[in-house]
Amino acid sequence: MAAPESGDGNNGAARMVTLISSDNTRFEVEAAAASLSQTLQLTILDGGGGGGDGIPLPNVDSATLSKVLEYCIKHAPAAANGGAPNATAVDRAELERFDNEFVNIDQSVLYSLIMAAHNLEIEGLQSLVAKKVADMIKGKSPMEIRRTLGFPDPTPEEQAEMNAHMLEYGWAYE
Amino acid sequence: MEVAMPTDDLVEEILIRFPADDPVSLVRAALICKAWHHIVSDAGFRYRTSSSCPFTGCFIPKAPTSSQCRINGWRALDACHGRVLLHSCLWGLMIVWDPITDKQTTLPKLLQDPELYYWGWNAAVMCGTGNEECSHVDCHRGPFNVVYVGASQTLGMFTRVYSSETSPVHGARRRPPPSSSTAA
Repeated sequence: MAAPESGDGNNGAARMVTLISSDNTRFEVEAAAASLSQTLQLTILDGGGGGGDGIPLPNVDSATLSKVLEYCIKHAPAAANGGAPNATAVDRAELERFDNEFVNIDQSVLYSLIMAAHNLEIEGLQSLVAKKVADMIKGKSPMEIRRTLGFPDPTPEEQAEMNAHMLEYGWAYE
Repeated sequence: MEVAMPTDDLVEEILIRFPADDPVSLVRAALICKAWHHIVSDAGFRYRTSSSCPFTGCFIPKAPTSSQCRINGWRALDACHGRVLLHSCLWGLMIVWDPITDKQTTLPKLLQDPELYYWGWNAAVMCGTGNEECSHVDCHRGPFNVVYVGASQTLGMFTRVYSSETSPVHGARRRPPPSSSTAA
């Protein structure tokens, strides 16, 4: 089925789609921005999400979806140009600055974001958040990493394994 | 702090983004829990990081426990693509040892004529996939070739190639030598 001209039928205005978060909040966003998600792109190409229907996203809450869409809206123009070949250095620097500030957020939001990016298949966002988490745990000791990521304290058995590993790779802790 | 942990494939996405020149972070991450250790030890992860971080080969699930390779008298002739070629003067045997899986393949006895030793010889092991595109990151489980080069008064310079594909691994020691082809 093909209904690419769905929506309000006005060719001058960008086509809008509606996304519905797990807590039933509706977000109206340009189709081009939502299409950064490979998952949504197929539905949108099929003409879904327009009018009063909306696309339900049962795995993404409204706070997370709002962040995801903030990213998509910012990155949509560059993506529409097929990446960055036409982008000026200023545009690229602006996107980089946006990205850096974008991931400067609470850790729990980062986790929600990376899972949402994974579910919605937004490659750029997933890569951005994964890099941020990698930077957060880089240079930390295993115990510090566990605490940073909110792991429970290790069981005695796990602690023994960690100690044995430390003996084997002692140089990694110097 | 109650935080839902990312699933394993997301953890992999995170760990893959450690800087290539910082293998220490990867070693530490491998310690976090068994799940993370498995991720870093996984062949898929090694393959993905091979171009940037050849270091991941050290995260093997099980340390080598080979008893045979620790007996005195074995000499390493060559090591290549995840395999070690060992020779024992005492037993006159050559084995190919994969330290990651601890699998050993005893090669058929190649030399029956002690005179062949007099003029010197050497041997090397290499990937036997026959694929020029092979990255050699994870081919250590696949076929291999051992090339033996020797010189003798009667044969002159000679080369023999043992292929693990044409000579089955099991029972190779009992096969009549040499099952390999002769070249040059």
